[in-house]
Amino acid sequence: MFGNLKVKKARPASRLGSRELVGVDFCGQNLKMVYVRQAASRKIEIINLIEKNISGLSEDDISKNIDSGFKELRPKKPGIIDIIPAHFVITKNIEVPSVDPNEIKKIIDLQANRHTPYSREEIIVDYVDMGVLKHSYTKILLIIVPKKLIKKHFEILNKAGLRIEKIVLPPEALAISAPALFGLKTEEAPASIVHVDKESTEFTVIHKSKILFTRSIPLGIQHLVDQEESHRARLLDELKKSLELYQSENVEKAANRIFLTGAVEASKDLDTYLTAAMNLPTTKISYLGDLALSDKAKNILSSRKDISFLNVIVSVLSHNETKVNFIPDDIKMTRTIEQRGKSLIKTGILILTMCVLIFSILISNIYFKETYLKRLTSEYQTLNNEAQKLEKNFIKIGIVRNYLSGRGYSLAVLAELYEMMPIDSELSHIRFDNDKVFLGGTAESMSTVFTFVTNMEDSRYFEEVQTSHTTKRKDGLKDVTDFEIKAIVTKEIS
Amino acid sequence: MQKLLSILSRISKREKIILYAAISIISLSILDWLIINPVLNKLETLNKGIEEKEAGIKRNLRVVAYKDKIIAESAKYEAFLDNYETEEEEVTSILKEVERLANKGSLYLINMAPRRGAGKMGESIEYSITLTCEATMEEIIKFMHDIENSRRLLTIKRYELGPKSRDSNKAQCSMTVSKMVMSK
Repeated sequence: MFGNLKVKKARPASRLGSRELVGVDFCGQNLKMVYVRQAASRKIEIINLIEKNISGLSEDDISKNIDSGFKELRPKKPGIIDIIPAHFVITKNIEVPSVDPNEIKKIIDLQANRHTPYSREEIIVDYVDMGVLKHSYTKILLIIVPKKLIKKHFEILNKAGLRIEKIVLPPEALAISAPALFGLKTEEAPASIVHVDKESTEFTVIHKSKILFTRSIPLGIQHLVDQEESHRARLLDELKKSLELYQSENVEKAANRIFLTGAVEASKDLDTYLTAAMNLPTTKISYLGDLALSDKAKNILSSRKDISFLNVIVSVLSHNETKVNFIPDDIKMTRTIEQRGKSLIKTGILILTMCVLIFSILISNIYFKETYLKRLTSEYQTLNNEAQKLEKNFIKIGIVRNYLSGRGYSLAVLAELYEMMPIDSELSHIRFDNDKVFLGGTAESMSTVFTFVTNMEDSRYFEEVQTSHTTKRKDGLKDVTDFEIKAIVTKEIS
Repeated sequence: MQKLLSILSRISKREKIILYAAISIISLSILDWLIINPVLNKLETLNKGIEEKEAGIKRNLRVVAYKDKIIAESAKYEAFLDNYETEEEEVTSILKEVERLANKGSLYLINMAPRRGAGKMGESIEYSITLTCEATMEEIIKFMHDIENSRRLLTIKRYELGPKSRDSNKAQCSMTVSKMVMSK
């Protein structure tokens, strides 16, 4: 239905840290726009206001007026809050046999067309929960608005290049804002607020910051100023009717006082008149309360006392708390999908950024380490060459020293054999083969051979001394013993 | 994107969890395979390289600290470190030196021949010759002593000693003489 909307000024609805909002009301003869800035400290300031007469203009012209008004306000990416005043909606206090919000939603979806001449497809239904009744019933204020009207609002604002963030019902916003704005205490008893605008008056009953009842009266300050007496009497009549209607719906106990607000300064003693006529204390209050206003806003407000900006101001101020939102379900769904898409993209970008960051750190780490390694190699190249040369020399020295220490060993072995050889024996051959020694000779007796072997075993030069063979033979008249001895030469001599 | 989101909105929560888990695991695996692993390997290699380089530098600094001592020692053994260009030259020099020592000690050299194949031992090479000689025991011992104390790093690796004949006072000796040279 509202699928092909062109939006040039979009903003997600979720943030309210430090943000700007523009409220738009173009339901009557006047276009009203309010530009509000909410600081991170939640301090709210009305920056600028615009009012233009759009009576009798076509939709395109209204769009152009909104566009030019928006440009005049010069906000930076604001959220756009549209309002549907009470005289465009049908409200009904009903009791629903459930306390479950989902069930309540289903029930009102089914029952809504009973309370309106439109078919179910032609209306948008919403409700305000007013509390549980008898444990299993819920009192609700059923609110019905024609879909056609919402479509028209979307088209006009879309043509003006604005994307509607929320469509608010002003009486609900007033019920939420009133305690803070006017200092009203509505916790114990309901309060009636009579909001007088240029063309109409809204009679709203609020209790515990909730709207209980609302009724629009087609009499505004323009009528009350002109032909004062007759219009005052009509207003009085309508207000009495409204009170009766409220009481007949049996929602809550009757309001014990009336607060008169809006463009009431033009009609001087309206509060006194109502107090006397309705037999209820009526207090006139400024709809601006303690709101912070820019000089520009102050000037506009002081120059246009015949117009009330209350609806548009409270709608912007409490749009976050209002439950009623006339944005159709298909657009809500599209926005949810868009929002999810955005979140997905944001998450993706975040992950990608993190990855890029991590890998940048790693790559820079690699770069620095490579540079450090190259620097180590180049800076210490001379040292490395010198050390290598010295090391080579050192190894050579070691080898030479070792070689020299092993020199003369052949002679030492020979000298040792000479020293330990028994006198009555002689050697016929000596074979020295690096680490082994083989001896052959003749001794006068077998015991001499064994003595020689024992001597060799005791020597530090030999180990594993073995007699290969001993053979006795006659040498002339003497018995002699031929022998062969083998031994391992010990190299490590301390 | 909207099409994808509408598909996502149609599948059940369980299916979504499985889908997201599968996508996460596959993405992480690809990421690990393509980027994380190579980068971490590169980092590890660099760290190892730096560690080895630093250890090498420390060791080199230690070696350089002993520079004077090593140079002094080198000078001490300089005389033993002369070597020739080729194996033939080296062997010839050994043969000449041995012959000179034999002549000096009146030793009768029966034969003398180089042994084939030099023995490589790390930084050094060992060249050997074999010889057979005849002389009195004293002369042989003196010859052996001269070889072992030669300035040319000669040493006797093997020898076999025995009388020339039963009634002779001369001995016959065959020996293997080696010389160690430092490889270039």
